[in-house]
Amino acid sequence: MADGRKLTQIHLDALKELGNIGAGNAATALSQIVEQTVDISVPEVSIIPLQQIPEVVGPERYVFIVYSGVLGDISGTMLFLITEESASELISVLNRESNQEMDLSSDVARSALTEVGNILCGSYLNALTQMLGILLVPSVPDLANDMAGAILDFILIEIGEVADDVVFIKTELSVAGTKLDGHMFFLPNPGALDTILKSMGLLA
Amino acid sequence: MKEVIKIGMADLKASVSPNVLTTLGLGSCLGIILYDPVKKVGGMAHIMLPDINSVRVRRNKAKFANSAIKEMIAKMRKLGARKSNLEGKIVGGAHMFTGVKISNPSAFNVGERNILNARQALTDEKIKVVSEDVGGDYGRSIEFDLETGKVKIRTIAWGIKEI
Repeated sequence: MADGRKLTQIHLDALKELGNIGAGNAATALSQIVEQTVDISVPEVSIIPLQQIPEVVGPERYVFIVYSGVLGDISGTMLFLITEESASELISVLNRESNQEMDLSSDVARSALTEVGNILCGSYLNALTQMLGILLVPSVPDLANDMAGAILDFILIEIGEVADDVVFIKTELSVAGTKLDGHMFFLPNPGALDTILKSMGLLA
Repeated sequence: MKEVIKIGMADLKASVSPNVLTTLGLGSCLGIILYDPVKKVGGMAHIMLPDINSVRVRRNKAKFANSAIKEMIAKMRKLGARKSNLEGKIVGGAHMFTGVKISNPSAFNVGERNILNARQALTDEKIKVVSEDVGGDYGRSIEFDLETGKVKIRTIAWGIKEI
């Protein structure tokens, strides 16, 4: 780990459980907005070298990423990543009552995607705040669309100044039964993980 | 047989003709390419940060412009390259999120700092930058053909170009 300590399976399981609760919160929030069933699961929590993150979706894949910094008692980064095809599907679900086509590059579509990312990241952090009793606040989100690797490297550069590895909490998303190729990532900065594990009583 | 060798983020490799060196999805990161056109030996680095001396964690030399260039020269020499033959090309160093500069000053212009530091580090090694495709707000993938020395750049918004 970044702080030189090795995390055990118990730690990873605990982080996965936190992820599940956060994801559940995020799913509820999003389903209220789209008025459809939303499922989010956490299939994987792992510690990986940060240069492997772009490989998760493929560095050249065309994606939309909502980026939000995490402030408060710990710092880190939250990401909502969705492929171009899935972003189109999501936009058409959001837009289903209008009879106008919504182009992904339009300001309205971009703003809607940013808001979805904001809701997902915000409710995830809310769950962590309530569970752990530590304050976590998302910063104002930003949206970028391009090759996955190109957007992620910008985010990872900041983490790269202080660490070689990141905790990667992968989440999967489906709306109205359709699986979307969208993922949430929580990347705690070094030291932040200690605070999280301590407040769960897993670290002296 | 032509082999395509992939370079990941914070990674560097050197090889010989007719192989191809490639790295995908450069954003603010910078691709640094060195080539000995006489011996047809080349190297490519996918660096993330400008300067190894400004950080605490220094294990990975391929992560920083200045240390990656030194490492690459050493690797290329082992493959028969002569330092006085070397030419440099740099690609990438974009600024991907427009709003982040307000909320996150440390990420401000890291792409540009990567470009400036790489140019300086190459000058320090007396290596001429023969061409570059840098800056902007979009990602790039590169393919470096060690037989011809040509570098092909792919983008989503602007198609393909060669330098």
